[in-house]
Formats: sequence, structure tokens, C-alpha cells
Amino acid sequence: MAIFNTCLGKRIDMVSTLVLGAILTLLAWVALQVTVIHGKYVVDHIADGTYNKGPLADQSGRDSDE
Amino acid sequence: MSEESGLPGHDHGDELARDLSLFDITMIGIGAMIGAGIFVLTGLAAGQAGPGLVIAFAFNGFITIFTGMVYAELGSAIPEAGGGYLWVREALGRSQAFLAGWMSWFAHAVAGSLYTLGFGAFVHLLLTDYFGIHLFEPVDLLFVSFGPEKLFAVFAGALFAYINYRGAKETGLAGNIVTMVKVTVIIVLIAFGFGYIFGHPAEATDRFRPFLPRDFGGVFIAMGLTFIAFEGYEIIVQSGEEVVNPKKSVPKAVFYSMSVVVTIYMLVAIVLIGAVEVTPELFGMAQEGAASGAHGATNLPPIPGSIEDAAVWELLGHLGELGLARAAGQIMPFGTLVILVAGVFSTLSALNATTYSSTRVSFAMGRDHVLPDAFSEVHPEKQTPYIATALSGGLIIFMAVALPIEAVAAATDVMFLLLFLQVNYAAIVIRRKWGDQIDYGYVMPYFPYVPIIGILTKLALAVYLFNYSPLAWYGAIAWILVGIGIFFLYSQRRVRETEAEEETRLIAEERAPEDRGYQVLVPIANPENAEQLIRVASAIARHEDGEVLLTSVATVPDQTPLSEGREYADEQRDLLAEAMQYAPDDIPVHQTVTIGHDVAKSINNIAYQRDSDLVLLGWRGQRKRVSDYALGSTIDTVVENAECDVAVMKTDGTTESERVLVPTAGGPNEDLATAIATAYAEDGADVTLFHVATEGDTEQAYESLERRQETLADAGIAVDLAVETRSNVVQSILDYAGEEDYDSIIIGAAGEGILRRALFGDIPETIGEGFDGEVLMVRKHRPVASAIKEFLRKWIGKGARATGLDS
Repeated sequence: MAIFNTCLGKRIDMVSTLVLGAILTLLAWVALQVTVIHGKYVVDHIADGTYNKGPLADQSGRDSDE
Repeated sequence: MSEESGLPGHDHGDELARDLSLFDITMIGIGAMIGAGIFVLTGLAAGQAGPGLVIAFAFNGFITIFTGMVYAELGSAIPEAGGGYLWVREALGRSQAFLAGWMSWFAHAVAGSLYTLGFGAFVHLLLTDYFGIHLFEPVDLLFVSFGPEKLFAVFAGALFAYINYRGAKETGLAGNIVTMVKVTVIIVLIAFGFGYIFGHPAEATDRFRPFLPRDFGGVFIAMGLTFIAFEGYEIIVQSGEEVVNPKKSVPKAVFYSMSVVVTIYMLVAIVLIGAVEVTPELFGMAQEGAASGAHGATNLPPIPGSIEDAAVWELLGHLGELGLARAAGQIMPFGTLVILVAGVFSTLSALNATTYSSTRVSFAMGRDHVLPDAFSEVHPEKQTPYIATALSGGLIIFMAVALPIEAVAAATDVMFLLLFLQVNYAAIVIRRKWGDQIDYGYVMPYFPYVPIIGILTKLALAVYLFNYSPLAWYGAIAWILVGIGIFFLYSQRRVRETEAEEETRLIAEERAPEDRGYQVLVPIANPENAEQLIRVASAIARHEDGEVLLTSVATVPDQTPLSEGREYADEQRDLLAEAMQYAPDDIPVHQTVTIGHDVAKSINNIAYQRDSDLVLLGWRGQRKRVSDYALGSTIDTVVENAECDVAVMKTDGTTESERVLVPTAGGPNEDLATAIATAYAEDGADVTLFHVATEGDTEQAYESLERRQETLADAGIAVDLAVETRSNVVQSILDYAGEEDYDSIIIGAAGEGILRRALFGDIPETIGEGFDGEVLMVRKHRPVASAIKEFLRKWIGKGARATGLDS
């Protein structure tokens, strides 16, 4: 019974590490993708002249030289 | 947005044809990141992280996006070739740019070494496994083992150095084809792998347990080891000048390529662990690899004794750079062969790019005069920087031969990580200094936390890599130390010369017939003070058997190029012509009219260029109580940055000094004050050395003054002594000078701390303001203290380049 419990505990431990690892991996990947989507959003809005945060808050009426 | 100087309108004359689309530069980024790294490093990293390789790639993608955002912002704002090196130079000055360039040269060259070693391993395996050609057994050469893999590595390094010397570089089309081929190969591999995983879900899942067999330490090492694979944004911004619509395309390409590449790396990791079985063949090859030590078995647990106890990741680790290729043999038909061939092309393509970029970095440093001019020498026929190419090729080959592959990979990563630290810091400086002037195509959110996180995470990864390969760190540190040595022995002087030439231009010069060694530089701005300044300067020059250089600086607005500023200099010519009437006959007096954007920088530049020993400045005698300046913006700047002794004289119109008081407190500044007082004495003045003592200190103070008196007497100079005991030093000096009818006070600067901002100290400046006569405050130049102070000020103080852009 003790051996069974030890094996079970080890297995649960391994499974939980795997699940935890999978969750962390997914979170990191999702965070990356969110940053990418946000980056595209910022670029598009700056190009449209509708983004007014950060240093652009002080800049008005400037033409992009694209 | 076009300004004369400074980052916002960074000036560059030549424009390249803009013919790269968003797709093109995204492919360039993907090609750089899914390049040789995935073929060479995946096996090594699997050995460190185990199944946690997946999380290592995900985390790497996550932390590198912080620096990715920095590159997206700066790449969109300043889309020029030069990338990180350019931004560091503009934001942090040429001295830090030297370090950035020096590290960048090494990083690119060692990355080239990594690719040559990968190429050598792949070719050797192709020859032995598929053509049955066995070359020689590895031989020990001094401290390295030299096998056929290294022979091929040397061959590849030499070949691409030669190709770069010839000037043939990879065309865009060929590059895109290579990228498409290797991405296709990887996607096919992933497809086959997932086919297996979906068909055998239980076995595949089991191979991920335990998920972190070496805990997070192994994951961190794998992250550091493979970080080089995620630096494609550096390549993307290098193409900025050739991109259509760079303000949109560059940041988008950075983000899209990161998104795609990190996903592909994670999928490859899943396939590598989940779809590969521990077969007797794989086990045997890993045992063979571990026994030979040829595949970078650093920091790996030994292979288990029996095949039942072995995990896939352990075997992949011992297979090192061949791990992916061997695993691919199980995942898809002809997998090993396909990966080897793709790997050969990838490594060669990456080697070509790194040879090219390391050559261009060292070439640019030669052109910036921070490395010897030979680096920027272009071959007359081939039109290539052949010396930079040869040295870069030599560095690539040397590192490939001297270091094992895992140390080469770690050294590359350490260097790139350290380089990115500087770039993140430069981004903070650039946003703070010029953020409101720059046309951004993208701005990072949560500034400055994003670059700060970038700095901290990269620093942590770099430091953690020490656990994996101390040798890599030792190599990196040695390289940086050599760089610092070269900078201080050679480059610093050249940097200073370049800055001086850029900031100050000589308009007119009239030289006296005779030149002498010691030189007193006297900037003249006010004709009313000219006589007094020239009298004192001449006395000092006479004492030192030297000469006087009079200068007057014309300033032009920042928007006006110096080359257009001659018309501003007429007034200065007249000023000097008038001042020359006070020049004595027995001293050579030269005169120069210069032009610059800033008077103080110009004065320091002239002193540097003419190797002046002392700068003598006039002062109205009023301290600044409200502004940040002590005596005035020009005087403060000259005194703080002077590279020679400096003296500031309160000009009260005194035409003759008959009685001179020299308050003493010890130290090098007092020595200079005494030397100048001696010059006054030789001109007929009575000089008194004066000390304000505390209770019980009088006798000792008097003895000290007597020793000094005797020394001067030996030189034929007679001086008087006086000691007073009072608690208020300033008042004591002022009272004594007033009561005894002194007309001049010469006083050395008070001691100063390294970080404390001090010109001459409170006592001299209060005396200078309070005394109703001529006061000369002097400060001795101390190169080491000045260098440390400047270094600290640049790094942790003002955080900006010392010259050029501030104004």
C-alpha cells in the first residue's frame, strides 16, 4: 500500500508539473500573441493619426513621412 | 522632420532603393530566426531542459518580445542600417558605442563560428553515414581536439571570408528561397511529428513526464543557450532603409516574425520530445556521442546504463548539434538526410550573413575611427573591406577551432544579451531626450518598464549562462577587457579628435614666429577683460617658458552647419586684433578664431586639439544662485570637462598685482596655485602663503608653510608666511586680505567627491565673490579621477552622451 501511495504521489506530482508547465507555456505564448496584436493595433492607429499615448500625446498635427 | 543634428532627424546622405515589402522583411526575420539555430541548438537545449524545452522556447519568446518592442519602436522611428549600434552611439555616446560595436563584432563572428561548427558536423555525418567516407580520427592539438568536423568548419569559415572578400553576397531572391526551403522542411517535420503524436497520444504524453527533470534551472540554461535564435529583429531593422513604408512595415515585421517563429519553435520542441522513441539505435548513437564528447556534453547527466531508464531528451542532449537530425530520422522518411541537407544550407546561409555583418561592424568602427583605419580600408579592385573581412574570418575560424560548440553557442548568447542591455538602455534615453521630436511608427506601452524588464531578463539569462559554460563567460569577459584596453589606449583619443573636429571649426589663425612647449589658452569674449587675462597668462607662460594662445569663439545656431558660419566670425577677428595690443614682446602669443555651436565645448576642443596645459577664463565675480550653474554655463562646462589645468579669474580690471595672498590647504590644487603665485612673484609681486588653522593646529601649520617657503627659496622665490586661528575660514581670508591690502588672491579648488558636483568648492567661490580685487581659482587636471567621474556620470548620472546632441 505504501509503495502504491508513493508511486501514485510521484505520478500526481509529475502530472501536476506537466499541467503547470503546459499552463505556463500557454500563458507565455498567449502573452506574446497579445503583444503582437497590440503592436499591430498601435502601428495602424499611429498611421491613421488616431493614437495619442506616450510621446504621441504631445505631438499633434504632425505628418507622417511614410 | 529634418533637423541639422541629433537623433530625431538622423542625418545620412545616401538613400537606398526602397523595394522590400512587409512580406519580404518578415521573411528576412523568419529566415534569420528559423535559421541554423533550430538545426544546431535544439538538441543541446533539449539536453538541458528535458521536455521543458517547450516552455523554454515559450518563455524565450515572451521575454524577447520586450526587446522586440524596443526594436519595433526605434526601428520604426529611425529605419536605418546600423540598428542597435547606431542607437547606442546616438543615445549613449561614442565610448559606449565602441563597446556595443566591439561586442557586436564578437557576437556576429562567434555566431559565425557556431554555424561553421554546425556545418562541419552535418557534412561529416553526411559523409560517414551516407557516403561511407571516414576521414581521420580526432587529434589533440595543444588544448583542443581537432576532428574532421573542425576541419570542415575551418574550410567553411575560410571559404566565406574569401567570398565576402570577393564581394559576392547572397541575393535577396536566393535568400528567400533558402528561407522558404528550410521553413518548409521544418513544417513538414512538424506535420509528420504531430501525425505520430495524434496517432499515439498515450505514448507521446508519457514522454513529457517528468516535464522538468532538471527543474527550472535547466529551462533557464536552455533559454540562454537558444536566445540567439530569437534575435531576428536586429536583422529586420538593418533592412529598414530598403523597406517600403518602414514606419509601418518594420514594427509589424518584428511582431509577425516573432509570433510565427516562437510558435514554430514550440511545435518543433513538442514533436522532438513527443514523437521520438528511445530506440536501441538512438541509444547507441547517444552513447557513442557521450563517449567521444564531440557533441558538447557540457552540464549533462550521464547516459543511463540501460535503455529502459533513458529518456529521449537525455539522448538528444548527448547527440548535441546532431540531435534534431537524428530524431528526424524517426519522425519522417529520410528525415536525417533531409534535416542534414537543410542544415548544411542553413548554416552556410547564416555563416554568409554573420561573416558579412561582423565585417561590416568592424568596418564601421574603423570608419568611425575607433578602430585602426586599416579596418575601413577598401580593396581598390574588389571594393570590399578586405582587412576587416580577413580579421573577422580569422576570428570566426579561431573561435571555432579553440572552443567546443556549446561554449561557442553560450559565448554568442552572452554577447548578444549584453548588447541588448545597451540597446534597451539607449531606448530609454532616446525616448526621454527626443521622444517629443521623433516620428514614431510604433510606441511601446508601459514605458520605461518594458525596456527595464528587457534589461533585467537579459541580464539574468546572461548571468545564469555562467552555470552552463563558465568558459563562455571567461571568453566574453576577456574580449570586453581587451576592448576596454584598446579603447583607453587608442580609441578614446580618436573619438575625442573626431568629436572635436565635428563640433569646432577653425576659421582663422595667426601664429607667432616661435612655438614653445607649455601653452596657456585664453578665451577672449569681453575686450574689457583682455588686458588683465593676457597679463596673467603671460606671467604664467613666462614662468613656464611657454606661450599664450588667444582664442575667440563665434557661435552659430544648431540649425546652421559650421561650414556656413564664416560670416559670423568677423567680430571675433576684431576682438582678437584689439586684444593683441596687450601681448608682451617676450612671450609668443598666437591667436585663433573658431566657430562652433557651443562656446564651452569649443574652448575645450581647442585646448584638446592644441594640447594646451592651462585654460584661463575670465569671470564677472557673481555666483549663480538660482540656476543649476555655479559660475555660469560656459565656465561650468569648461571647468567640468577640461582635459588640462584650468584657472578662473575674477576680472576686476586690475592692471598690476603687487600683493598676492595664497590661502593654503594642501593637495594638488594648492600646488598649482603656488606655482601660479610664483609666476606673479617673478613679475615683482609680494606673495604671502596663508593658512587658517584651528585651535592647537597653528604650530604644525606654520611648519608646513615654512617647508614650502624653503622650497621656493631654493628656487630663488621669496614668499612671506601668515597663519591665523579662526573658525570661519572664508571670513578669515577675506578679512586678512582686506586688512593687509592685498590686491590678488590665488586659491586652489577644494577637494571634491567623485559624484559630488563641485567646480572649485564653496570656500574658493565665496572668496571669489566676496573679495574686492582679483581672484584666481585654479584646478589641477587629474585624468584618472576625471575619467572615473565621466564614466559614472555617463552610466548612472545624466545618462546621455557627453557631447553633440544636448545643445
